[in-house]
Amino acid sequence: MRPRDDDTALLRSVARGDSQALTHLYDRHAPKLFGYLSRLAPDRMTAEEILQDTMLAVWRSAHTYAGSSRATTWLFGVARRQAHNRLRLTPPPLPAEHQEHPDPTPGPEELAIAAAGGTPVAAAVRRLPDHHREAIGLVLVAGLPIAEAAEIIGVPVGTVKSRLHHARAALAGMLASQEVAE
Amino acid sequence: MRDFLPEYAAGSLDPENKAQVEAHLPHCPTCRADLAAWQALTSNEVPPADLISQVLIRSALTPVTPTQRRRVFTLLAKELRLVRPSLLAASAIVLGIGVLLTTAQADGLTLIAPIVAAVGVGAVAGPHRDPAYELIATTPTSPRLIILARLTLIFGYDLTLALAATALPARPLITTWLGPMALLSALTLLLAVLAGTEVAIGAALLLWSLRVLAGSAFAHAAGLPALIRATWATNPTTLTAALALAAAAAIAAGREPLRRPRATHLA
Repeated sequence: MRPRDDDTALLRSVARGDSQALTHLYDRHAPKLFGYLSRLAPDRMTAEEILQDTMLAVWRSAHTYAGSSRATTWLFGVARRQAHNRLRLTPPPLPAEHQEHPDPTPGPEELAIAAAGGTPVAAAVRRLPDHHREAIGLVLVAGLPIAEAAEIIGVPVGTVKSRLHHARAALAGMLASQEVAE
Repeated sequence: MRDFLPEYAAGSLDPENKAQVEAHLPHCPTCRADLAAWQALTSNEVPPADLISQVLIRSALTPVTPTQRRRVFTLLAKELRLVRPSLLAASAIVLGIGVLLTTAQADGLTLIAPIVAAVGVGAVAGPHRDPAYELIATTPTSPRLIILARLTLIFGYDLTLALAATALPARPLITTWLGPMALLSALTLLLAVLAGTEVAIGAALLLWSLRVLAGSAFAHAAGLPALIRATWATNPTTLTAALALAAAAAIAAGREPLRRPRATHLA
C-alpha cells in the first residue's frame, strides 16, 4: 500500500471514531507538523497547544476529508488554520511580494537566548515576518516539497521560492549584524 | 541548481534531481556554502508523546459548537415537543374529513384547509395559553424566533398534509386553498400574538365563515360577497400580504414587556 492510500485509509478510520487510527496518524505526521508549528509559534508550549488543537480538529472533522487533496496537504491545512486561530497571524501578503525589512539589530529575545546558549539561527528565525517563517517551517523543517507547501499556503510555487530566499537573506543580515555587535 | 538546494537540505527532493545535486556539489563551492546555509535552517523537533490521549480527553470534555443549520433543526425539534399531539391529530382528522367531503360540486379541502391551518397556528402562537411560556421567556432564544419556529412547524405540517391530499384521485387544485391558507394563518398569528389565542381563533372562524357564505349562499351576488371572494384567492398580493402579516407578528412578538394578563395582581 502506498503511503498516500495509507493516510487516506487512516483518515477514514478516524472519521469512524477509531482513536487507534488517530494515534497512528499522529505518529506518522507529528514530527513534520510540529516542526512547522514550532516555526510559526513563539515558543514550544504554544506550538504544542496548536498541535493539540490540530489533532482535535482532525478527530472531529476527519469526515470532511473528501480525498481530493493529499492527506498531508489536508493535515497541514488544518494545522495552518488552527495556528491562525490561536496566533491571530497577520494574513500572508498577496503574491505580489512587497519587501519586508526586519529590524536587523538583536532584540532582548535574541540576547536572552544567546545568553542561555540557544541557537542564534532559531532566535533570528523568530524575528522574521509570519509568511517567511511559514515557508521555512513547511519546506525546511517539515520537509515538504515546495509544490505541496505552495498548495497549502495557496500561493504559486515561485512565491514560496522567493519567500525562502528573502527569508534567508534577511537571516544572513541579522546574524551578520549580531556578530558585529558582539 | 540552486533552486533545488532548500528541498535537498530538507530531504524532500525527488530522487532524479537529488542525484543531479549530488553530482554537482563536489565541483561547486558556492552551492556547498549555499547548502550549508539552508541546512542551518532545518531542525528536528520532537513532538510530545502523549498528546493524543489529551486530545481525546479534551474532545470528551468540550462540547462541539453546533453549526447554524443544526441550531435551526434543534430549535424546531425542541418546539415540536411543546406542540400538543392532539393538535396535530385533530388537524389531520379534520383535513381528512375535508378530503372525504370533496364532491364534483364542492371542494372540501378548499373550504377546510385554510381554517385548520389558521386554528393550529393560533393555538400554538398565543402567549396566553402557552404552558411553557414563562420558562421560554427566561431562555436566550428570542420570542420572535420561537414564534417563527412554531409557525414553521404547524403551517409546514398542514401544508404537507394538504399537498399530500392533492395527490389523491380527486385532485383538488393547489391554487384554490394555498393563498387563503397562508393569509388566514398569518392573520391569526398576528392576532394571537397581539390579543391571544381565543380572539385570534374567533376572528379566523368569523372571517372564514363569511368567505364560505360568499362562496355558497351568495355565490352570484355582487358587492361585498364579490370583494370577499376576491380577497381570499391565491395570487402574489395575498401571498405578499401573508408574508407581511407574519413579519408583523414576529416583530410584535419581540416587544417588551411581554403581555400576559394576570401576571401580577395589578393587571
